[in-house]
Amino acid sequence: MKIHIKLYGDLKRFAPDRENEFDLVLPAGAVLSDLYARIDIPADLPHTILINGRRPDEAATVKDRDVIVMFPQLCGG
Amino acid sequence: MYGWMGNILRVNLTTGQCTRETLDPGVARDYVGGRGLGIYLLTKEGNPEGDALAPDNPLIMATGPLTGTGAPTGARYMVMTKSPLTGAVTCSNSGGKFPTEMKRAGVDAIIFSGRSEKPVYLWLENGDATLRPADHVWGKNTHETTDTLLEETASGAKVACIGPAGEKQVLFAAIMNDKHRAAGRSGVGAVMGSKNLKAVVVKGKGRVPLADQERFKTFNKQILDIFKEGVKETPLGLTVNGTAGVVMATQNFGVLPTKNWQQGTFEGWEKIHGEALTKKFLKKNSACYGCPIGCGRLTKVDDERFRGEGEGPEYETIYAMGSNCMIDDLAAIVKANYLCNELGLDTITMGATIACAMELADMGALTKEQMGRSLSWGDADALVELTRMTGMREGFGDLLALGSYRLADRFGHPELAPVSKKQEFPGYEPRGSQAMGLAYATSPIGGSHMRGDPAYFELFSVPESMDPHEWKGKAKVTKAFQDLSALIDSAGLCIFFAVRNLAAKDLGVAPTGILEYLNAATGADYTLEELMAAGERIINAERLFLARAGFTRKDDSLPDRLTKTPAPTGPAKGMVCHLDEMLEEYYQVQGWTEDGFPGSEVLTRLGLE
Repeated sequence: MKIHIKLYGDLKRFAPDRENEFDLVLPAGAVLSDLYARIDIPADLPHTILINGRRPDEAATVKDRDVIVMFPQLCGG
Repeated sequence: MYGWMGNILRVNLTTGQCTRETLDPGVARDYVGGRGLGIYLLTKEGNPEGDALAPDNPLIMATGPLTGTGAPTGARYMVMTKSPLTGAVTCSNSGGKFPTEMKRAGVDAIIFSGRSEKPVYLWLENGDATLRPADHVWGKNTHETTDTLLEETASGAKVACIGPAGEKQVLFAAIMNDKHRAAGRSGVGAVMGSKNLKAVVVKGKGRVPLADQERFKTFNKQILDIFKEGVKETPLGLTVNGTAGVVMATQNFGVLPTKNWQQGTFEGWEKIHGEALTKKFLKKNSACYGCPIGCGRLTKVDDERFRGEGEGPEYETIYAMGSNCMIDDLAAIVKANYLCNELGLDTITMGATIACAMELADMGALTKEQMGRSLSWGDADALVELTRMTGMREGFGDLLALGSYRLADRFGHPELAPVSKKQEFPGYEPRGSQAMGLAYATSPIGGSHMRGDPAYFELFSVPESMDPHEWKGKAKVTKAFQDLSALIDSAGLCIFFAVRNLAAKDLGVAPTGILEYLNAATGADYTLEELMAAGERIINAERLFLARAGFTRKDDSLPDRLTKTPAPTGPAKGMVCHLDEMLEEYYQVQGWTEDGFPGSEVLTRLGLE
């Protein structure tokens, strides 16, 4: 299955080819840790991950054509 | 007294008399300072039922015990009065250099009462206060005024002043300090203008005395070391793109208010995002006194149509003047922001009022003849021109000067004003950020993100994550955040540093770091429970002021657009804000009656009966 990834802010440095948006092919039934195994963001780097605009829990599975957004911690306006 | 200069300056603008009074240590302890001291004084001396623009409405400027101490972000002051926009209390908060200099000049707070016959400004130097004529700067913008007054007082002095908008009593006029920082909301500038007070200029050599210098220094180092370690690898988003970087987050959560709050996503968001601002217009960062973050943006626009130089915009300005007006031309937003700073206007209410006018025009409720021009969604030139006309109260600008509620009401559609208590919302859509809806509805100043900002939980996962779509259980965290905000505002700190670095995660949002700073600075020897009770005392004192001003449960409201119309786009599609359910729970958590009045048990516990 194919998912679409968007990395923002400082997380862009973890994007392949320096493109902040890219597709990723994962085996069916993949979970978040499978995703992290493919994108080398350190586990202790605080960031937000959204699957289709929703913050997933740790055991969440990823589905075909999901849009995954990741950005560093922000606050305030 | 420690942490304080020990003085309140009283300026009677009717008689021209300036007198000094001693700050009561018991009041300072019970109300912490800043916002707390402000509501104490306003309750004692103000008239909640009176006209906000009448001479008997006192205008109070109050610093906190940590202002000017060197505690990180200890740079802030509050402007408290009765608001001409809302009829409720104001809590306008600003940083920069002015608040610290005001304290160094020897006073913790200034109470302005009465009305001067002619325009004047206050010159306060090392405790000596005099009122001087200001006829020569009346009509000048905030930058010209600041430059002129610095020339005739002293170099190194700091200025807070109003522009033409305050003089002409635009209902959302701001008080600008250090040219670019704003006590922006609820029309504090109009109150200042109604008193014929153009500016306050301060200079001093005083130092804020600390109760335990060693303890303060040790804790300060510890806190700053942790902060520096945390940003060593990845700089804080606020430092890199300012608050403007939030556009990306709110867009992706589907809570970026768009098209006068019809939806929470904006197609052109990348053009108005903080990264675009940094790339196209940022000259350098700016920081308030003692701030390690530096979220301020010194910017410059070379585009001929919108040429200018100044500070901003903040995220809130970008939402209000950008997505909310369907404008993706960032240069126009920056220019309109400069005009707001120069004329002395609140950018949130300005943008939200123009967006509301755009919707009224779109549906035919406002005609070309009534406006003297055409107006449609996305019109960047109109944004800039209408901002200027509002600050000068020219033509249609004279109507926009009343804010969105009065505008929409006059043309038969009050439901289109994005307000609570007649004040426009900041940029977080409650259909996809439920607790923000509760925070807007119950904020003492009307629509605001600074009097309790549960978006920190819901969107930013600080101090921990909560589901933004869930409404159950949100009353408790909203109250906790409101109490914390009251303490941050009262201590003289900035929310951007304090929430992340001075609050305990395991206790919700308990003010553990603020406690240590306050005890080291003031020697007040608060326990955590006492300090948290002080936060509650401030919130309840404000609520009592509102009750006396005639506010009831029906004023803790949101427009039907947010509570009855499902969100049409984005991750919150199909959702409404569950305000009624949250409000029920909230009054219980507060110990308030079903009508929203503080219960007798709460008042007794907090010593407010």
